[in-house]
Amino acid sequence: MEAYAATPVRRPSEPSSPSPTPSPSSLRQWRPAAQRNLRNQWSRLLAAKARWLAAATDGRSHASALVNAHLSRSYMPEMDLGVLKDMPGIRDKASAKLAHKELQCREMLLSAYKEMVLSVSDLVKASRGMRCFSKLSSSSPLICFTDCQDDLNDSGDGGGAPVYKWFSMLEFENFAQELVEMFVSELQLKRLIVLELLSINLKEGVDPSLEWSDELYDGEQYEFQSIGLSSGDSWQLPENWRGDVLQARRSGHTPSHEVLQVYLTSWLANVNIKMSRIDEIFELVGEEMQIKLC
Amino acid sequence: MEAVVRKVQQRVRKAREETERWDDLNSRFLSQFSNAAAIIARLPVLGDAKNYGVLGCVPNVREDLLGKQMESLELIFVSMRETLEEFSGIAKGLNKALRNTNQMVRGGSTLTAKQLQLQVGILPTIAYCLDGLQTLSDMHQAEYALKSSVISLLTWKSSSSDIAALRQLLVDQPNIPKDEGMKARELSGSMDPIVVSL
Repeated sequence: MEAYAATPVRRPSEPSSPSPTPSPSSLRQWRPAAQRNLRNQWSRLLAAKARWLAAATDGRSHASALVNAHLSRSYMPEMDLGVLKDMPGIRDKASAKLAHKELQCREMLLSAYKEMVLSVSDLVKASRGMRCFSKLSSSSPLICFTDCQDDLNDSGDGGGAPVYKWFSMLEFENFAQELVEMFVSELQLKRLIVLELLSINLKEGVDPSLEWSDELYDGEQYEFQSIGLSSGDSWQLPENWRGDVLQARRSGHTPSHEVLQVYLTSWLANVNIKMSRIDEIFELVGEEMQIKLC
Repeated sequence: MEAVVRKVQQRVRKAREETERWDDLNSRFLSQFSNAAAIIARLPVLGDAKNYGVLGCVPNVREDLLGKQMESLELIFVSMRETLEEFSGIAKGLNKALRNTNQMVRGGSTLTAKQLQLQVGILPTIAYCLDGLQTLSDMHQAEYALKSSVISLLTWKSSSSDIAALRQLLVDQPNIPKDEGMKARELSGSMDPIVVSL
């Protein structure tokens, strides 16, 4: 099916004359272009979801490796090394190795996080590219369809008509929005965990701890801005989050074993991701489009 | 007479094949049990708000996380019950094989008590086969009942020592001694019997 050959931005042109209000004939021309676009965007959503989940799984294993290496290193001075205890410098060497491992895990955790940001960005962009606007090209007598709104009278939704059988453009958008909200809130939660896990190791070094307003990697801010999660230079705390708790954390002790366990479990649980609802949405939409989205 | 013995042996062999799935099921059951135990062991930590560190700034995170974990636990319980159903299927199958074989031997052709004890060549006697089948059926039935009560005792409130004890029961399978398995193999003729030449 062509949905899978997706180039989501470019849309084919349809021959005939333009009409700003959806008359039966203009709707007839709009519909195939809108359907193609929706198929492409939903395939894109599906791919972004899979990419996100894979990155979250990778991130989980890097996060737990990081925590374990860190805990082992902190136990090292008291660890019973048996017959090895008399070897010169054994504790230092082991600690150095663990520190190196932590460094590697941090890098990998960060790149998994980056992958999650990119997937969410893709998800958001696809969710905003559902509408299909007609565009009269001055040089050609053909109607083109595009994803940017040229004519303010054209809202790109075919006047609210069903795009396939039942769902209007708005309903497709609402489903996509529901997905986006889950992934965005989960990304923010994971960002907080990444921030905290990366700070653990810094505490022993000279670097100051990371703050919520810090960029975790180059280009993070740009990516967040492009999907509207951050504006200007300020890095806003998500709505409802309690800034005072975040501030209080800076009193600066390493999280206890239990706290680390809660962090890792929260990561694993994907608290904000309701998998059954996600499957349901893709199933509903796939059924409507008569393609398989799972 | 020899034909009847062979037939009985075939029944026993079939029954034994059924029990081969048992061990696979048990390893699946154990891994489901371990997953459930891991969640149960975490619950007290997750339940305590002071373990949330910086996550305390996220509203409802504790409730959400506990809810998610309970949901996962519930799903594991469901799959454990499904595995238990398969155990039950095997136990029932063995019982049915036993009843059918009994009927075949005692019902249709009326074999005398003497014939049941008759040993044809190196083949085991019919009585011996029936006895073996009975044992096989009894022990799997008992083990199924044990597993069934083990999972009814496993709840989110189970203590770690209870969980360890329950797990040990699943590993040990006290109703299925290892040498009984050997005996079943011998009865079904898949192991070469020792021939003593005169």
